[in-house]
Amino acid sequence: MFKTLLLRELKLALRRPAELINPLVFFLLVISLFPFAVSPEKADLAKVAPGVLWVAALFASMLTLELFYRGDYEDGSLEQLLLVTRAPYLVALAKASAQWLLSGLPLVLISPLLAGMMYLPDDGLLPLFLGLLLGSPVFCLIGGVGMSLTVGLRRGAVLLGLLIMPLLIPVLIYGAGAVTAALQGLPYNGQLALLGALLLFSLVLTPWASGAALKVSVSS
Amino acid sequence: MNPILLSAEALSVQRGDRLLIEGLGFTLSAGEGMHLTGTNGAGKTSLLRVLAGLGHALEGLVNLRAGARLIYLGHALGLKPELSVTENLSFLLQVAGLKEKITIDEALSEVGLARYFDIPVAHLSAGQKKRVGLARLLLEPADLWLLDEPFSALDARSVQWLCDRIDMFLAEGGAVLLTSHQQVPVRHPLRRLELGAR
Repeated sequence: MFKTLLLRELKLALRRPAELINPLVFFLLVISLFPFAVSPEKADLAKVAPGVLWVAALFASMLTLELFYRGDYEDGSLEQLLLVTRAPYLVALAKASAQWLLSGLPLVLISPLLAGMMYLPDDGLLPLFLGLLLGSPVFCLIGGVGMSLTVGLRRGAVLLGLLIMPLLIPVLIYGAGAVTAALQGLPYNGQLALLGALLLFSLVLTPWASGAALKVSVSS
Repeated sequence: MNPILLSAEALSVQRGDRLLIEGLGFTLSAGEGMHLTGTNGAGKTSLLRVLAGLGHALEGLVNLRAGARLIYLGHALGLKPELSVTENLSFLLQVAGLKEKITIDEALSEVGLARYFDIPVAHLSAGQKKRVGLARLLLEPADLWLLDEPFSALDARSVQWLCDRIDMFLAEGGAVLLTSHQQVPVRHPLRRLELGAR
C-alpha cells in the first residue's frame, strides 16, 4: 500500500512541475542574491556560507509542503484516503517521502554547486552534502506534522512556521556545525551522527503524529 | 429480520459552538434505506461525517457492524483534477486492496463516461465529476452507502439511473443513508429521518 500511495504522490506532483521547481529556484535566488546584500568578498561569504546554505535549504523545503497536503484536503481526497486505508501513518509517510524525493533530494544534489557560489572551501563540501542528505528528510518529516495539523486552517502558514521552526533548529545547528567543524579541520562525525539520530527519530515517530494530525484536521 | 448494519445511540453532534443534533438514535439494517432530510444547517452533512468516522460526536455512540464496509460520498468527491478518470478510480481500489466488482471500463460505460476514461478530471463538468464519484458505487464492494446530496448536479437521466442502482443495492442486502432536498424516486420504501434546525 505504501508503494501505491508513494507513486500517487509522485505522479500528482510531477503533473505540477512549476510548483516543484519553486524550491530550487528559491534556493538558487537566495544564494545568488546573498553576495549582493552582504559582501562579494570571498572570505566574508565563505564565513557565512554554512549557515546561509542550511537556512536557504530549510526555507526552500518548506515551500513545497502545501503542494502535498492542501490540495488533498480541499478536494476531499484526503478524507477518502483516510477512510479506505485505515493507516493514516502510511499516508503521511508517503507524502513526506514524495516531498523529499522531489524537492529535498534535488536540493541536496545541487548544494555543492551553490556552495561554490558562496566560496565554500572544498573541505566543507562533503559535510554539507552528507549533512543535507541526512537533514533534509527531517525537514519533510517534521514539516509534515506541522502541515497535517494546520492543513484545515485558513491562515495555517503562520502557525505552521511557529510550530515547526523550533523543532528544526537542532537540524540547523548540527548541519551548519558539521560544515564549520570541517572548515576548521575538526572532526564532524559527531554532528552527522546526531543528524542521523534525528532522522531515525523523525522517521519512526513523525508519520504516526502526522497521521493522527491528519485525522484531527479532517474531522474538525 | 435483517441484521443491523449501523446504529446510533444518543448521538449529539455539534459544528463549531453550535449544537446541531441532540440525543439522536436510530438503527439501519441490511436492505434498508433511509432518507435524511432537514433544512440547511440542520446537521445532515455533519451527521453523515460522524457516521462515516470522519467527524467526532459530542456524545453518543455509532456502531458499524464488524467487518462491514462503507462508501461515503460527500460534497467533495475526492477526485484529483490532475489524474484521469481511470487513474482516480483505480487508485482508491488499490489503496483499499479491493478487487473491483466490475471493470472500470464497465463502470464508466454504465455511468455514461466510457469515452472519458483517459481525460483528466479537471476537464469534466460538475455533473460528469459527480458521475465519476458514483462509479465507485459500482466498483467497490460495500455494505453501506452514505450519500450526501447524491442527486445534486445530475441530469434527470442520471438521477433515475442512481435511483435504480440504489434499488438494486437495497435488494442485494445493502443499506443506504442519503441526504437530499428533493424527492428520491426509488421504488424501495425509504425511512425518513428529519433533522430540525436548532
